[in-house]
Amino acid sequence: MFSITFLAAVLAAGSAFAGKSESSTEWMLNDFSVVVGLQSDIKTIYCAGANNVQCAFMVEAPYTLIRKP
Amino acid sequence: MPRKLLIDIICALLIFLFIYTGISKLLDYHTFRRQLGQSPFITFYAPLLAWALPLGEIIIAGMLSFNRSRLTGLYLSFFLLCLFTFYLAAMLQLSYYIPCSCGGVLQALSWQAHIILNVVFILLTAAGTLLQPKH
Repeated sequence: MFSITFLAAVLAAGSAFAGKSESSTEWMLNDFSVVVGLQSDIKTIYCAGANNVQCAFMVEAPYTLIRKP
Repeated sequence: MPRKLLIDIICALLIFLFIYTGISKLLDYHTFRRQLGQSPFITFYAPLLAWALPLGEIIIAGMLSFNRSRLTGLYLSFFLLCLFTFYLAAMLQLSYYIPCSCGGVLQALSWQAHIILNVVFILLTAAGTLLQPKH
């Protein structure tokens, strides 16, 4: 039988890993600074506007781009 | 509420806190180390603390999980939480620049909210220590 403390440990570990997978994507901007966040957030914060020029690429998968004017 | 259940709930809350923040810090090790390095009081010890702190939290959570080591785990939790709170208070009073080195969603808390959270957990730990049988 699982104890309440074991359950707490499993939930905590799951929450930590889930939080990490949601926010760990790293993006390199044109000025070579690295920012972390969801693609939609990066687009809104750093790359607002149309998609004519490359603005940022994903560090782990450089073929994934975000563009701006 | 039975005494044993109350101690179990307090320990479960502490285990959740320590496992969550410990693993979050290890998963985001480079950011955590950089933030510690920016902290004015502990810059020199940042490389050591970046490993020791999350590992210590996970070890204490392990101690809280077993009846045999639970009392020691509660004492260590009390010590660690008091240390965190003292550090936070000192940063708020004495430092002109305050980087956040917290784990996971706790980064979203303000420093005052963080101190309140710590005080609540300190009180819970103190209650758990008093309730836990000493033999």
